[in-house]
Amino acid sequence: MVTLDNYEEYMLLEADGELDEAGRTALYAFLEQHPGLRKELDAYMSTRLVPDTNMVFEHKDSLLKDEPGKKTFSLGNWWIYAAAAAVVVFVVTFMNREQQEEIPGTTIVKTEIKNTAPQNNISNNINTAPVTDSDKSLHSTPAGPIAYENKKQHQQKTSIKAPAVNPVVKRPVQEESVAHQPLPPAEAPRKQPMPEHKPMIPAPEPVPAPQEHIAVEPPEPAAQEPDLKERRSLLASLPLNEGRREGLNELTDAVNNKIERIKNMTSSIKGTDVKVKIGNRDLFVVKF
Amino acid sequence: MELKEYNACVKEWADALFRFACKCTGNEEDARDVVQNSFEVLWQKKGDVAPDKAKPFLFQVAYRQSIDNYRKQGRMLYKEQMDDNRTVKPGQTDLKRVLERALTKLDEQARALVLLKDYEGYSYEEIAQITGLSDSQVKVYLHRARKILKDYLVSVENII
Repeated sequence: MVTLDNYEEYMLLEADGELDEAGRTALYAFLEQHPGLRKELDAYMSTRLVPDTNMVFEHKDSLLKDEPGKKTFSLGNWWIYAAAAAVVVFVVTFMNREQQEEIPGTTIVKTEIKNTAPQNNISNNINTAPVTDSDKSLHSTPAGPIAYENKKQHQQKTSIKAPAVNPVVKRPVQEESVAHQPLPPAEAPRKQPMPEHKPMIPAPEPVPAPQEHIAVEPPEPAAQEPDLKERRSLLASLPLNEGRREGLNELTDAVNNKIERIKNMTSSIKGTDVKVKIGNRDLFVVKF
Repeated sequence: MELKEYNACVKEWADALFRFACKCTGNEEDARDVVQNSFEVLWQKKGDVAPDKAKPFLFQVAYRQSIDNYRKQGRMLYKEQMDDNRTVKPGQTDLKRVLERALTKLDEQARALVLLKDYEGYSYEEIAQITGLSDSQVKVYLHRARKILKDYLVSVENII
């Protein structure tokens, strides 16, 4: 019920938009009876603020978060980038090829053709390319000679004490003697028979046909240079096309690099002590 | 609230929030900071805020920041700026200009209540949730503010 005591409350509620339908009807019925108060209601209604829609926040982009996968690239730009990348790849490949052609062979023999028996080849490889235990464990792709050496070492362990021909057996004294001895030429060990190995490996008959064999050797001092050149000339005389020869070169390069790295690792491990301590107390020392 | 819903909130409520902050702080620079900060808080709390509660949440953050900002800067600064720069703009009706001036007569809380009521159309209950006041407090403060505004309008009308 709207009265002269509470009409103002009704007007304020109406200005706030909080008056229900019944209250509004009652208010306007009251104003019909008191038209002089209509002006007061209009004044209250005039206090209602109207938002200025021209006032906008101009930096909405700074508030927005990027949706994943929404970013797009224009096709034109993409082709420009692709063309630029193709040119770069082409130039780099071309330069690499030029460099490979300029640098002749490596210090390591690529291929070799021998008419001798395979046994001799094997013994030669063993003597000229010593591989230690650590080498074998590190070598991920053992080549033919190394595989053979593994087998041979296994046989040595089971057989009677063999003479110190193979440097694979780790003995400090033996290592020293091997280390101090100058490396023999590649042909020398071929002449030395290895009687202790003969019963284990059946001696095959000499094969008259030339047999292609990849011999991997570590980088040798300058004494072997003439031999390397000779072998390179042999490689050049092989009836291989350029692509194959190049592939062969790359393969031997890769193998040689790996051997070189393994050698470096072996030398770095040697003389290294690993000491396990708790507080100031030494538990044990592992010497390599 | 997901990222998509957050972005929708930005597009839908940034302008309204800016207008509200602008009137509360009396300064566009401060209002921009308030809007930026409010949305930043919403983004940080997006896991806790349901999409339908995002708008009151934004206004709640903006209200608190505007009040704090206003109290730090002092009332006089707001009045001076409102009187000198913001109230007289070309194209504004006389009533609107007078109302802008009348707003300066209110304290920061009453002004925020009127803005929430008139600009956004919130109910007493919703305003109470935003401001942290009780429903009856909101009603009383709003009515008091309306009377001040009405009295100012009537007095100006009489002078004119």
